[in-house]
Amino acid sequence: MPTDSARWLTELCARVALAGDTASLLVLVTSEPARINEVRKAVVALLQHEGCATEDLGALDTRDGPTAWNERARSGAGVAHVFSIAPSNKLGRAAFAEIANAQRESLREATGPLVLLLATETEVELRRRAPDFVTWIAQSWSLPSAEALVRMTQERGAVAPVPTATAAPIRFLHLSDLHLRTAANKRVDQERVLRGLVEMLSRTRAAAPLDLIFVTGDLAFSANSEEYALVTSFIARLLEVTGVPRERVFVVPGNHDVDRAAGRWLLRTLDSDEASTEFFGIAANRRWHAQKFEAWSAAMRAALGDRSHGLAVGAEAVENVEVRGTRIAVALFNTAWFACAGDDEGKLWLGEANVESAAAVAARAELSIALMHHPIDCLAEAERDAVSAHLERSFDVLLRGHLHKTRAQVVIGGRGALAEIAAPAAYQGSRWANGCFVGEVRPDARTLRMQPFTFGLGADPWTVDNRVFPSDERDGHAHTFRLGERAPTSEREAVAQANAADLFWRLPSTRRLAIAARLGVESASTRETEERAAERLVRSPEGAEVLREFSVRASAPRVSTEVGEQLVSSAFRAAIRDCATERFSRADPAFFVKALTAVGRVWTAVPRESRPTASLSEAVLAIAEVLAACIDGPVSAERSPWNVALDPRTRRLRVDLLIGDRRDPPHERAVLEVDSLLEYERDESRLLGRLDSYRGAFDARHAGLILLGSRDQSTHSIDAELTPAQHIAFVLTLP
Amino acid sequence: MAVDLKRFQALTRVFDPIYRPRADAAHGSVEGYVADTHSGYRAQLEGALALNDHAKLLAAGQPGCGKTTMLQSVAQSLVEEGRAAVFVDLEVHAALQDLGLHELHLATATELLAFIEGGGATVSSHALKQAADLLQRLLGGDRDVAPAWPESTPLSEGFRGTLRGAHDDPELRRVLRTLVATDPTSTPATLLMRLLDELAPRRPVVILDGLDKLPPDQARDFFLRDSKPMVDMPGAAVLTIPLSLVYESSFNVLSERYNNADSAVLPAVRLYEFDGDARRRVRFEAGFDVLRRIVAARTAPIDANAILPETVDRAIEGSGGNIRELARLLQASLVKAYVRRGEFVELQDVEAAIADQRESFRRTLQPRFVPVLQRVRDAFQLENVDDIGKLLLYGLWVMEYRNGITWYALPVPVEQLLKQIERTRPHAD
Repeated sequence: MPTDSARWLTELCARVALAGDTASLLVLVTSEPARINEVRKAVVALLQHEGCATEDLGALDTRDGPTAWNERARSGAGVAHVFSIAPSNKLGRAAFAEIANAQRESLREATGPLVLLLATETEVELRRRAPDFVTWIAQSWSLPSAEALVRMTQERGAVAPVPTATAAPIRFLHLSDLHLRTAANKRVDQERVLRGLVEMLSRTRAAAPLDLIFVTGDLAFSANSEEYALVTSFIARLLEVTGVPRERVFVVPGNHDVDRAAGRWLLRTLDSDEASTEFFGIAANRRWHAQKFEAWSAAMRAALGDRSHGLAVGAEAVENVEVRGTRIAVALFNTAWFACAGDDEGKLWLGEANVESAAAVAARAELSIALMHHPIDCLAEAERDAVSAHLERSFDVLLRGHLHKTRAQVVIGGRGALAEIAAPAAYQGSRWANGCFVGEVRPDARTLRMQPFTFGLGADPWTVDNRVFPSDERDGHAHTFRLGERAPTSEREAVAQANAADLFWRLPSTRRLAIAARLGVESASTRETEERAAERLVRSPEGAEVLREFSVRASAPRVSTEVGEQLVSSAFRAAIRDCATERFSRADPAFFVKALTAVGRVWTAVPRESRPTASLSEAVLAIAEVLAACIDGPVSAERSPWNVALDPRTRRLRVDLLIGDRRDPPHERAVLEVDSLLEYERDESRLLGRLDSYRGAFDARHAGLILLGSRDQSTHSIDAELTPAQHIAFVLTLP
Repeated sequence: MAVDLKRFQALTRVFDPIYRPRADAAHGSVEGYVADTHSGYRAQLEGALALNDHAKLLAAGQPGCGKTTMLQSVAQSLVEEGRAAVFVDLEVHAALQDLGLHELHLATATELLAFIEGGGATVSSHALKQAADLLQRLLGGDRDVAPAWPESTPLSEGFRGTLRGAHDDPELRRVLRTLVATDPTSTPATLLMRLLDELAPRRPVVILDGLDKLPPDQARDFFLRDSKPMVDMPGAAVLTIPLSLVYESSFNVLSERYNNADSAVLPAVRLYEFDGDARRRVRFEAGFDVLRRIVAARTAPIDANAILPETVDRAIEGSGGNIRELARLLQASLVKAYVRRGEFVELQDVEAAIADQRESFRRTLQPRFVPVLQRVRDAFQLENVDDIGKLLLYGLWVMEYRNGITWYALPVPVEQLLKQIERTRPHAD
C-alpha cells in the first residue's frame, strides 16, 4: 500500500493507465499558486518516472477553455496531458470558471486523460461558478507542498522534464517618427528609406517572422489627409510584407499627428491634478482636444480597423492580444493631447488616474507593453513622478519615440524592471539617423532582446546598427534585457479585486446608487440595484475604474491609497534615498526590526522642520514611503481599503500601516500603528492591546508601534514590549 | 493475483463522469437507460406533451441528476410514437457563453432538417427552398452572388458547418448575426417557424438541451428579461434551464409562458421518503433499486459481478441519489481496487472513495455554509434559497428531493465532513 503522501501519485498513475485513450478529467490542487509551474514540472517528472506516458502542456491561458485544451493535447492518444491554469485574480478565476463550464462538452473529445493543475482559490471558484464542470471531474487530489514534491523528485531520481517545446520568441517591430510628407515638400530619400525598410522586412520574414508591430507616433508630418494617405498606404505595405494581421499593429499619435490649426484656441496645458482628473475622467471634457486628432483617427481606422488608436483613456486604453499562448496587454498612451507647437516640453499631460487605471488592467497580462510618443520628461512636472511610478510598477516594456535618438535602458522600479526603449526616427531625412528596433520577448525566461537597425548607404541600406549596443557584438549587437517579475503586481491586483465589493458597501448609499446608474444597473428595489451593481463591479473590467473614480471623489483632500508620495518633502525623500539603501526580504525573520530601524534612521536624518509631523496621517504616509523603499513587498497605508479588516465581533478595524498582502503567510505580514508618545504614556496598555486585535484581524505575526514626539531630538530608539495577549511588539520612538 | 487491466479499463470507462451512455447520438437511442429513473417527473412531462401539441416545458435539475439522459430517452420514445421529435444539443452547435437567439433557432432548424432529410418526415419543396435560400445567404457572406449549395448534399450539413464556424469564431458569429439581420423575412426564426408549421400533422417536439449550462447572468437575461426562447414557435418544446433560474425571485413570471414552470425541477433519484409527521427520513427501496439497475446496465456487458452488491448500495448512499456522483464514486472505488490489486470492488474501496470526496468538499468549504448544512441535516429544510443555498444545491452539497413536498438532505461525504467539523469545533457559533 503506498504511503498516504504518495497515494495521489499511485492513483493518478493508475487512472492514467486505466483511461488509456478515453477522455477523463483529473484535477490536482496546490495551495501555492506562486509556485504552480514548479509544481507542474515536478508532477510531470514524477509521472514520467513512474512510467506514465505524460506530456507537459505548460501553463495555459486563463481564457483557454476545454476546446483549447484539446487543441493543445492533440499530440498523441493515450498520453496524459498535464497543464496548469492559474488566474491571478478573482475576475480571471470567474472568467475561467465560466469558460470551463460552457465548453465542458469538448472534454468528451479528448483522446486521453487531461490532468489539470489548479490553485485552491481556482478550485473554490469552479465549485461556485462551474458546478457542472466540477461534476465532470473524475477525481481531484490535493497535492503536497511544492517543497515536498521537489524532494520527492530528487529522492526518486525523477528528472524534471525539459520545458515544453522551446517556443519561438514573440517578435515585434518598433518603428517611430515616420514623418511622412506629400510630394510637394517631401525629402527626396523618404521613399528610398522606407522602401528599403519594407524590403528588409520582406527578406527577413521567413527567418524571423514578426508577430506584432508598434509605431510610437509622428506617422505624418503636418497631420493632413494627404499625408495620412501615404501613411495608410505605407501601413498596408507593412502588413502585406510582414503578414502581421492589422489587429496586431498598434499605433499612438505624436506631436506631428496633431492638427495644429484645430488646437490653436484650445488649452495648452493643465494647471493641477484636479484639472487632470476632470480632463481625463470625463470624455466630454476631451471633445475639443479630440478634434485635433480627427484626421489621425480616420486614417488609422481605415488602416487598422475601428479601434481607439491611442485616443481612449484608462482601462480602455489597453488592448489585449494573445500570441502563442502569452497574453500581452498593450497600453496606448496619447502624450500628444496637449501637443501643439515646438514648445510642448513640460506642458503635456497623460493623466495620473488614466495611467493608473490602464496600468491596473495591463498588469494582469503576462507581458505588458506601454506605447507613447514623448519621453516622460516631456510630461508636466506635477504628474511626471507619479506616471513613471505607475509605468515602472505595472509595465514590462515602454516603447517611445520623439527624440530621434536611439536609447534603451532598464529602469529598476518598485516591482522589478521596466525596459524603456526609444526608437530612432524611421524617417527624418538624412540629417538624422534613420532606424528601428526588432524586439524578441521570451515570456518564459522573461527576457527582451532588442536589435537595432539603421539606414545607411549602399545596395543593402538597412543593416544592424552596431552603435547602440557596441559591447553586444557577440549577439549581433542586440542587447538582452531581463524583465521584471510579475507576481507582486498581480497579487496586489487580486487583493484590489477582492476588496472592490468591500469598498463599494462602505460608500454612502447615494454614491452606491450613483455607481449603479453609471453602470446602467437598475432594479425595482434600491437594495437589489445596489446588489447588482456590486456584482457588476467585481465582475466587469471597468468596475475597478468606476469604483476608483467614485471613491476618489469621496475622499478629499486626496490621499494616495498606496503611499503618500505627494505629502513627502524633498528633504525626506532625499533621506530615504540616502538612508534606506538596503531592501530586506520578508523571508528574513528580522526584516521587521530592520525596517523599523531604517524608518528611525531616515527620520533622524531629516532636519526637524522637514519632518512630516503636521498630522499623524502625514507621518503615516511618510513612514509608508520608507517601508516601501526598504521592504520587498506591498505596504499599504491608512486609507487603503486593504487596511480594513473585521474582527471576530464584526468590528471594523483600520490599521495605520500594513505590510504584506492577504495572501502572504503571517510571518511576512506586519501591522503598525502610529501614535504620539504622549498618548502612549497616558495609556500604554490600550495602544498595545489594540495591536493584539490588529495582529489577529490581519493575521500578521509582527506588530509594532511608532511613537512620535520624543524629547530627544537626535536619536530614535526601538524597544520590545509585551502586549496584553503576551505577544512581542516593537515600539519605535521617533523625535 | 494478476489484475486484468482490460477489464478494469472497460469498467472505469463506463463510470467516468464524462461517459455518455448512449450509442447513437443522432437518433437518441439511449443505451442502458433505466426508464423509471425519474418516473413521476417523466410521466408529467410526457403527459403534458401528449395533451398539448404546443406545450412549452422547462427542465431544471442538479448537475448530474440525469436530465440529458432522460430527455434523450423521451425524444426517442416520441419518435417511436410517430411524432417529429428532435433532440438539439446546443452545446454542440453554439458557443453557450455567447449564445444568441439566431443560433438557437438555426440549431433547432438544422436538427429538424436533418430529421426530414433522414426520412423522418416530409415538408413541402417551398420550405426546403426557403432553407436553401437562407443557407445560400449565410454562406455567401458579403459577396453579391453566393454559390448555390449542391443539391446532392443535405442542407443540414451546410447549416451545421455554418454553426460550427460561428461556434469557434466570434468574428463569424458576428458575421452570421449581421447576415441574418439583412433580410428579416428570411431568418432562422422564420425558417424554423415554417418547418414546425408544416410538420404540425406530425405533432413536432423540439428538445433543447444545453440551455442549463448558460452562466446564471446570461440565463437571467435570456429567460427573465429578453427573449423567452421558443414560446412564440408552433409545436411543443422542452428546454433545459439552469437550476439557478428556478430560484430567481421573478421565476414565477415564466409560468405565463411555459406550461410547467412550477414543477420544472427534476429531483435527484429519491433514496429516502420524508416522513412529515415524524420529521425523519425513511429508506426508499424503489430509489435504491433504480440506481442499482443503472449500475447493472453499465457493468453487465463487461462483468456483472465486479462490484459487490453491498458496495453498490454504499456508493448509492454516498451519491445522495445523483447519478453522475454515483458513477464518480464507483469509478474511484474501481481505481482503489485496482491499486490494491483486488479482483472485486469491496466496501473498503467505496469508503475510501467517499473519504476522498469528503476531502474535496473540505477544500472548498466556506464557514458560512456550516449553519445552513446543519439546518439541512437536522430539519431537512433549505430555507430561503439565497446565494448560499444555490451554491450548495448546485455544487451537490445538498441534495434536493421531491415527494409531494420538496425536502433536502446531505450526501454522505458532506455529512461526514460536517460531523468532523463539529467534533473539532464543538462550540462553533
